[in-house]
Amino acid sequence: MPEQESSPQHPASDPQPGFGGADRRLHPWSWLFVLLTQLRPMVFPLVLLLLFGRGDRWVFFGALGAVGLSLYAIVYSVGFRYRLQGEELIVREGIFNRTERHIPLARIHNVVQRRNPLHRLFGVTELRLESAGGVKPEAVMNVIARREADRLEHLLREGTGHSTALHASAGEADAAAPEVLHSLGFGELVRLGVSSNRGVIALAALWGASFQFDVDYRELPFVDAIATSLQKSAWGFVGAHGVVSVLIVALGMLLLVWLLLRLLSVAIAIIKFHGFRLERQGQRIVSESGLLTRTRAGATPRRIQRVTVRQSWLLARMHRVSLEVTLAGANVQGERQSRLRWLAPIATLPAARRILAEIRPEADWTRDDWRPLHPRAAWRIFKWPALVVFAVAGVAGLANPWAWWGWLLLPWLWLGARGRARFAAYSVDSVTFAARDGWLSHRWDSVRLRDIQAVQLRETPGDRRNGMARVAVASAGGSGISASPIEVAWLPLAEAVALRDRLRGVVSHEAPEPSVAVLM
Amino acid sequence: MPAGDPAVPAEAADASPVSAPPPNAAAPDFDPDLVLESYPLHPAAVRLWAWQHGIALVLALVPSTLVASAFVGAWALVLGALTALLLHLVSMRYRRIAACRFRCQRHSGGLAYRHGVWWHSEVFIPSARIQHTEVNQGPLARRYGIGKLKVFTAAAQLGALEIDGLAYADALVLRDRLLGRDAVIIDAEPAAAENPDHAQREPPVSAAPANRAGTDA
Repeated sequence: MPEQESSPQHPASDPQPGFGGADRRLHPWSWLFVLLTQLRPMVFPLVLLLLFGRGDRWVFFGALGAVGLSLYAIVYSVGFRYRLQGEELIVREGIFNRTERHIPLARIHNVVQRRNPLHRLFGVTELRLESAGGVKPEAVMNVIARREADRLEHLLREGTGHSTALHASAGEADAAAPEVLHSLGFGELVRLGVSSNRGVIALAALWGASFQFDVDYRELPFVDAIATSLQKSAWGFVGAHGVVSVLIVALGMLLLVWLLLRLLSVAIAIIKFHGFRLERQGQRIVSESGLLTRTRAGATPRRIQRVTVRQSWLLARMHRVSLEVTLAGANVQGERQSRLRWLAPIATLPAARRILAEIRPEADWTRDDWRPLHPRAAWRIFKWPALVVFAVAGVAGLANPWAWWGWLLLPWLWLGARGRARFAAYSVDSVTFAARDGWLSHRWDSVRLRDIQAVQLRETPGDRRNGMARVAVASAGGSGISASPIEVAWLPLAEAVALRDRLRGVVSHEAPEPSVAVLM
Repeated sequence: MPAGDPAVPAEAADASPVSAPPPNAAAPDFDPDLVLESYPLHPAAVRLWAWQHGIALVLALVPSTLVASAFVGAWALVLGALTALLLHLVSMRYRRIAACRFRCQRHSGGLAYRHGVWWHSEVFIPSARIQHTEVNQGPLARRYGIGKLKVFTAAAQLGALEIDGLAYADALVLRDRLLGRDAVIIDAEPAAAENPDHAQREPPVSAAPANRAGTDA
């Protein structure tokens, strides 16, 4: 097919006519990246094979698999074609089994570019286009040239010329350079690392993985050496200085571990968010970040389903918050979640309010119409954890009286319950529903009424005894914890019912999103 | 409930299984003016649940009794029988309350479903949010003419609402009205009426058009 061969090196100057019509192929080096994508889930088994596999048989099977995968990768990347025609992107996959998909441009809501160091070396990028529904992204281009990806993104932003109302006002706004809404310098990255628990999480993951692969870390030579020398010096120290100084040293060690973990957190924050930038480009917002792997994710603001503002205890000391959004769209299984998520991993309070004012003004968490929980909410929050702690420590104390010290947790639990009951609240106006929760770490969630997918009123047996109820509001998208509905618990029953009736009334009269109407 | 219930099978009025008192401090219902139609629990649903519970009970208790007999001998039989009796009593009470709690209503803007025995739950889904629906019928449920309606939205959790215990015909009617396609039901009518195996479908479906004229205006 001659017209296909000619296309990849087209100049970037004529976005409209040059793009339409002719089929375009992936980058010539695509097969390498397809192969690596295929190999990714097998990295751990392969490493294990190399470390522990004995005998030629395994090497043979490994080689066989590698050849098969390479063939697949080559066939896949040679068979992949795409072209823009009118308002549609047409993607064709396969050589023997051909699939052709027509994707209306207006339905593509999330655009993600990902470039790891290898991508950057070859000057290419992985482009992922997602629509609102479905389990898979509409199209994954693995990989195309960077320039080509930017051009596609530009076209998606502007429409292909004979455009719909969606793109009508985008023209003049786009002519100017993208407007930077937020960016992070080195100091902010350090603050982000210090305030986050990413180090602990990474360490826990490593520890979990060591179980998975049955690696006995005591057998590792350096760990053994360190442990032995530590043990020796510790005993020597006890012999020389007595118990009190040992306690001091133990505390010092804990502090050291804590510091090391923070340092790890800072390193992770820098790797993940180096050069973070949030931009507005016409109607879309785009965020880009990463030291090694650069991820660039864009979305239209109206696809934002939920805005979450978080402030951990340390962030509060730094007078900063983080801003996170959940987009509508498929929960892509087995894929790394790379779509737009952070409006700002860390931002000063004025900066955060400015970002929200630009993108979703109604999500401002500093609103003053918060409505409190039931007056006895603190007791309900406290009761069950307290009973469990009381019973466990009590029983364990029979065996070893030291366990009775566990009862010291009770005042702490009470403080937490009281603090949480005081802070937790909800707020509803004509546009949004918002809820906040937490004690030392605070979080605020908000969802536009028009984005509400379901409203639930729930009463547990305890709620019924105390005349309380909880209201949950579900929005689309998200995965894991962020997918759970926004729930306000321990409300007075009458208030929960009023809230339910109010939400019911509003959501049943809200006009559906245009894209949903198209799907139906 | 308003007089226009589309689908009260003839025997539902007298042989109602609902006699348990309402649990304490239950949330008040929606304003009745909002309700277009109410879809009752199929009168045989309680019997169907009894079968399902019974089967689950047998499947769980027989193997565990066998295992227990290895340790305590014949006492395992006594133990198993006592457990079965206890669970049966719990299940009876559970079914009665579940039948009492069941409430499925179509509002002008969506679907409201109340259920739950220990954990009371009441979900409202706007019709505009419904992405797709599913009506299922297992072999036991088919015998009683009972169907299960599933309603899916884009929400990750609470995204799939499952309404079990409707008359099969009711489930179809409710589905079509939620999706705003009344015409389909009229096409389906003769097929349902012709099939003697599904005699139970007839009253609800034939009652439906009259009601629709009254409420949807």
